[in-house]
Amino acid sequence: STLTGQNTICTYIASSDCGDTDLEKAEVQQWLTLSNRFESDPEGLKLLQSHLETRTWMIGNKMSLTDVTVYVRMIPIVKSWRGEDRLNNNHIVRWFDFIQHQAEICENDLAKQLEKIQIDLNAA
Amino acid sequence: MEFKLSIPAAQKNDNLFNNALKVCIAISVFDQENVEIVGCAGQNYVSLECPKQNKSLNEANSIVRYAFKKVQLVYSDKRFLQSQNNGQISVSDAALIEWEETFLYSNLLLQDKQQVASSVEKVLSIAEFPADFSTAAAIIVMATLYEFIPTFSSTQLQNNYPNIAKLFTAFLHDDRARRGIELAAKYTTPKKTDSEVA
Repeated sequence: STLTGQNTICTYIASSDCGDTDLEKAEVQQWLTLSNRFESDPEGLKLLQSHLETRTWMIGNKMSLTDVTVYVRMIPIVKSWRGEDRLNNNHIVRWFDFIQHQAEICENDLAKQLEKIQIDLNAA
Repeated sequence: MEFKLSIPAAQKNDNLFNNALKVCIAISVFDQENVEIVGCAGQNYVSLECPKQNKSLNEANSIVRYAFKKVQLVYSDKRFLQSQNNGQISVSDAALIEWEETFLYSNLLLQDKQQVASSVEKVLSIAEFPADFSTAAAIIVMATLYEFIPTFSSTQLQNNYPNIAKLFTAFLHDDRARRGIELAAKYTTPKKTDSEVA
């Protein structure tokens, strides 16, 4: 049979990277769902900003499917942000810059083609 | 209580109400007795707090998924759930949920209703919902359609969308689904202030 749906395919392929506990698995799905709507639903971005305030990674203690997927979906959004937007979403911007410079992203042949967004974390 | 479910006030035909329906029906259908439900003014999303893990879920479908994974295989009244997959969401159900998250979410209130209904009819003709709607996909899809389907007459449904008509009728007659709908209606109704009561 044929699988349809970006999130469904991602979680099928990366099934071992979709959370260790039932609650973490639900969190993974939460962010896959919310990130699909970030451009049309600013409430999701508020949740993301709050979530990343105290975190390095989206889920758990390492790079995961969630980080990669949300990062890719955030590229056009972060690219469109200027000045005050980046300041008001500082935790997202910090996380985004961290992810885009990870070896898993920089050294992946496909990911290399993704546009790197210039971010000055010291900008006021 | 092990969990706290916060339900915001919401209007009919609103995504917030739809989300409240999903989670309340899930709590009811999955027979979750360890969840405290509270109304929550001023919040724009449903949330499930899990104090033991110091985490919360703030998206309705993920709450339903989690509730499903926590489900027992036997109802408190000793009847078996029709869904017997030990809380694992099948790939086909995951695809159905994503269809709801994308197609229905984007089109239900915006596109031509006959066109949407035709698409829904096609999907429901191949979806395999258990008779008691005890899967995450069944609850999510049927809750989302709850306010859309009654916009058609019974004759239209029977003649043009028989699968929709059949499933919706069964859904409305399911005791647990009905109880969940009542819960959603209760907790989404704004509480009157003292001055309004006076």
